[in-house]
Amino acid sequence: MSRIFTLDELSHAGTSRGRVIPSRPIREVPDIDLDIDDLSDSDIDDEKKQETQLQDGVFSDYEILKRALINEEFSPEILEFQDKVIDNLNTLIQDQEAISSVILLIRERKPFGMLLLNDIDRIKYIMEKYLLCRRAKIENQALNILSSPIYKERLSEAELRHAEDYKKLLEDYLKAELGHKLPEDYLEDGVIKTFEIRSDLSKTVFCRVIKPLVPRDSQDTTLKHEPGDVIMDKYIYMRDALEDKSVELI
Amino acid sequence: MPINTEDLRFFAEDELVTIEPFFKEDALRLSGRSFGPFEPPKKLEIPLWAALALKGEKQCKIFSPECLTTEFLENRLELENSIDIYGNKPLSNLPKYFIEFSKILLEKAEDDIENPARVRYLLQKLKEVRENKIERQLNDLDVNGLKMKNLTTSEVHKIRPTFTMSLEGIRKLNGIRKEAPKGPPVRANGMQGIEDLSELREKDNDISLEDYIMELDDTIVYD
Repeated sequence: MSRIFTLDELSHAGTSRGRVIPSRPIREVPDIDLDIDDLSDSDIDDEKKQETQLQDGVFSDYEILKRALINEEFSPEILEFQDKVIDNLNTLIQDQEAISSVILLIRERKPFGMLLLNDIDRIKYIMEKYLLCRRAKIENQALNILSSPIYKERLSEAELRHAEDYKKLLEDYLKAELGHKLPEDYLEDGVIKTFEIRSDLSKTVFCRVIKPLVPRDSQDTTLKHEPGDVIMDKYIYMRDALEDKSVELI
Repeated sequence: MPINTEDLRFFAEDELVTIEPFFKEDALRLSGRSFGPFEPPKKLEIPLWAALALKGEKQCKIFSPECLTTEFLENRLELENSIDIYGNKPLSNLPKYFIEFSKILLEKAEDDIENPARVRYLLQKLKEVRENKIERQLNDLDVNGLKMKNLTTSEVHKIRPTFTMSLEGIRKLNGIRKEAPKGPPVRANGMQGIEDLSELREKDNDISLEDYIMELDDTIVYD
């Protein structure tokens, strides 16, 4: 029996304890009033160590995922899964949780602990929204995605499993509903395929130019879209520029 | 769940603002990025959401960002009305999340903004002038799409339904899209049927000019 995967299972590390429908993070800080002397020096040393352990490379992952989320939302087709970014952010969340649990014990540093908890919630919110957006797209276009090797490669392992399970569910449902009314070969070949939703690559999208870009159909290569320009055109014409990171969808 | 205005506010909260902390603390890492050290009266930049949280705890003062000063807004309003060498009135350059950013600050940190009443007035004027200019761009829309400079994300979000629908309508009327099939195609196995849903969609989208204009009239809403 097929089952629908949770958001945690769709991400690689699966540490996000996400809500199914993301809402804006509002964190209530636990009221902990312990004496500062309760903490040994070794705790503080550990905390400093953890703070320095956070790598600079992690810095832009939150921004990268935010950008990937917006691109995914407005692109009609499934885009490459940001596996490394998701893994890095999961690590970052674990680190932040460890640091904040120590900081929250110190009365004077409580506002900082609160900031760290808010930060964790904000990162989780973006991760959940990204995974949800992809899951909705995968379910909507499951048959199309599974019939294309290019699209299949863009999914994470968990997403691929989910797409296959979802396809099976859909097929079982259709067979149960229509199986007794239609010939077997018609059901296999025709009706199920009728439910295949393809990405509408001619969908109109807005994108902001990041790197100078030669307009399509332009013979003059000196004439370029400049960074900051907003272009509205069919997605198919912007697809290469998006892959090339010359534009971002907005 | 598509990106909505709440999400735009969320993104705007990541923009940096300058604060003066009222406490001493080492550097703090938020979203993997280092901020600080916090040493009063030394000013530093932190994300807006963090600044608002610290302000709520009476731990900092937020400085009015340059883009929310009356001088900046008056300058932008002047630029909006200036004519370039091509005889056009281009949009002036504003930060990506300018509208949400200014709204949040005026809602939650009004006491830190200099002359908030005047700032509100100028923001409203700027918004109106820009909206009028953007709406006029609808006249320049053709089958090749549209290119505009200096649109903020919020403005794109607002015009998206109208402009997208108009462009797709223009393309249909110009016969850019393939003509819809005139009946169910015959499959390889000889049975009649529709090969895929895109064909169905194409067929449904075949609308008359009158229907299209009526539909458009119902859709264009500027608040």
